[in-house]
Amino acid sequence: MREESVARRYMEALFQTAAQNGVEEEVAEDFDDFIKMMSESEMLQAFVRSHRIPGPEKSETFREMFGDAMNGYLLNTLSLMLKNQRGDLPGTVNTLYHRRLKRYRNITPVETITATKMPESLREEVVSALSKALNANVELHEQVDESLIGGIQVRIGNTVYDGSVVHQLEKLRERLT
Amino acid sequence: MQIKTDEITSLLKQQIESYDVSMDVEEVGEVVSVGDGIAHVYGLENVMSSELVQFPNEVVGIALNLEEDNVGVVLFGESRQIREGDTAKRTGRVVEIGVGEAMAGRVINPIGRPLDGKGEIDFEESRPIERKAPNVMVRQPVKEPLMTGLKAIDSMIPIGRGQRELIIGDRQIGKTTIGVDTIINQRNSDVYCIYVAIGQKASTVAQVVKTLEDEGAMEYTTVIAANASEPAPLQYIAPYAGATLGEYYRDSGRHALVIYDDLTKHAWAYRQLSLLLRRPPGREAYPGDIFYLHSRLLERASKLEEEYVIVPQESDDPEDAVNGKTYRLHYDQAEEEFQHDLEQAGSETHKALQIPGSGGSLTALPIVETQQGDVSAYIPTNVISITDGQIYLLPDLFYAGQRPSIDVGISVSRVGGNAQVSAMRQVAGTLKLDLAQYRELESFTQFGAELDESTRKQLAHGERLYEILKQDQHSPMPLEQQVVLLFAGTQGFLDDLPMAQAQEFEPAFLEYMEARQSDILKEIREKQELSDELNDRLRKAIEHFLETFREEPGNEGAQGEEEETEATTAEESE
Repeated sequence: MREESVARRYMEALFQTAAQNGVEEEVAEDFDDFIKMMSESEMLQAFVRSHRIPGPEKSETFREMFGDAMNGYLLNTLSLMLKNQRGDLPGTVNTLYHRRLKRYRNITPVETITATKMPESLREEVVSALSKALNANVELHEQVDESLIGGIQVRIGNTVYDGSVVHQLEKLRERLT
Repeated sequence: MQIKTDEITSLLKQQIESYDVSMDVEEVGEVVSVGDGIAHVYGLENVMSSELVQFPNEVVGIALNLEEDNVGVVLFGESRQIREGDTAKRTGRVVEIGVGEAMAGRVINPIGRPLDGKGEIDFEESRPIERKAPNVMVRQPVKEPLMTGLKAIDSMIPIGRGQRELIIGDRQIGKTTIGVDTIINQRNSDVYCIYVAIGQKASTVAQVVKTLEDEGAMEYTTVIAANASEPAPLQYIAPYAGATLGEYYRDSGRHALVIYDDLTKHAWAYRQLSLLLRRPPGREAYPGDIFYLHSRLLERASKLEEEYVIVPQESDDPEDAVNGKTYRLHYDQAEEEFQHDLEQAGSETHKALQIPGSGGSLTALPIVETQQGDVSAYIPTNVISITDGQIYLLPDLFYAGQRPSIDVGISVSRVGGNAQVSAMRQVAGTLKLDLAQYRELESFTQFGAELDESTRKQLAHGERLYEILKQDQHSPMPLEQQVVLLFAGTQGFLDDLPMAQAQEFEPAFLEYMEARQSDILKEIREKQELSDELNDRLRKAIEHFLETFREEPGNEGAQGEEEETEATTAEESE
């Protein structure tokens, strides 16, 4: 958990620099590529995470490897992280970066859970209602859970709007007992 | 249950028809880690400190640690029923306990669930267990006595209503007994009692409950038990629940006594929570806020101000107040103002009426256990400095047969003196001093040295005073009996009796007083004062008794014991 607050600081610095220079999309793409590369190559992973290689040297080697392959700001951030022996952070920073980017673009991820798959028309209706209410572009993540019986559960961040039948029944039970 | 099937159906129908389908908004988080009774939850960004958090399987917890990106929640239930990834919901409530008249006579756990198998409790309302202590303006100094029924305490360490008096001592030397005896002694008073057992063996608590039941004290007593097998968070909230229940009586203008048995174990439970929450340990590994933990609890004990309004002579309703002002007579300014306003309204036609619900009190008797008599450990020093005095129990006295084993030398009551009844003050005036002198001289006796006459006298006097202060457990003594007995002792009537006879003096003498001189006892009980005239009568009565008592020591002694049992049965039937 501590890790995340450290990662957030790297992310915020990277994002602000990128956004100021209008390259936030490019950074996002390059960052994704790098994370993907890391998950594919065990060697790279070991190199990035190892604490036995001294920070400055690691940072130097890293620059040589990726010098031309990625955005300069991203390169600087990553090599700084390696210099500080924070090789375990890039994954978290990437996740946070994408979340931040969405907020920057005024996109709110919304999770909906319904008992059956929503028909297209209903989905559109839900999206437009939510966009209006939130005053933001909604990125819908749909889930189907039959145990809801009916109705819909909408989750925005840490807040759940529960209009499912199972919840109503639960409430009814509480009131009757 | 006396509901018919069609009734149920119609009820259900009604409910379903009137049921409006609405969206419920809930704030949730996700359990990141769980173990040792603590869950760390990610999310719940707006959760507040000490708010209740709902987990699956009916488990609840309180949010205690609010960190940058997670919340530390202590669980009241089984942590094994919660898994990583479960959702945790905010409830917007804090821990509450039901209060009401139905609570008296019950044994409950700290969240108000009955433990005595006598069915659900029909409480009136729920109140949060953490409440702010009353501020200065609504309080007044302690002024009414809270009789413990123990000679040693009522005479030398008097306790007043609204006071906080610590009972401190090693294990197994009668701390709980003092608390229980005090509860038993409230049998004929208007004080409601609450006994909070924290981290004790269930068998010990059962024993206390049985004693209270046998003595008829359960009628006005609530026992709140968080036993040793209970999770630490329950033990942590137990004394606060007790204080809330006591405040219910206090705030309705009545008097309550709450015994916290004991705060050492309470501190242990809180230490466990704090360490598991990774708060930094301090002295003896207790967290930094352990002092605040106890001070905010004990500050809730208080004597509230009586509030008056001026109403017409024939009225009994505070709504009829002539000028809408309330008066707190404790302050000189207010008294002048009151007299002035009363005269203006017409002192013939108007009177002062106490507002119902004002003037209540909550007395606290916290208990702290020491290790090997070490009062300079962390928790004992903390609680000593918070309370208005302490009753210190000594193992040496206990094993020497001096029970209750109160060390009157270092036990004090800082405020109770104002509340002591004057009859008691008159007889006990020299008691403490005499005992102190005796203790100083006591060491000489061990050398078998030749002592001069006056020293010998002083020693004999002290020895007999200590004898008088002995008292069996669960047999509290009414004020008037205490007064006549201590009178006989301090005035030196026993000094020339042999020690063996001095031990038999008490039962025989009290029996004699009840049988032959009950008017003296009655007068002391009613006037609570020893006038010169009463003094003489009492003196004569004692002399008269001693004449016969000296003659037949053997008979009197044996008879005395019998009579004492008779006396107690007579008392109970009263």
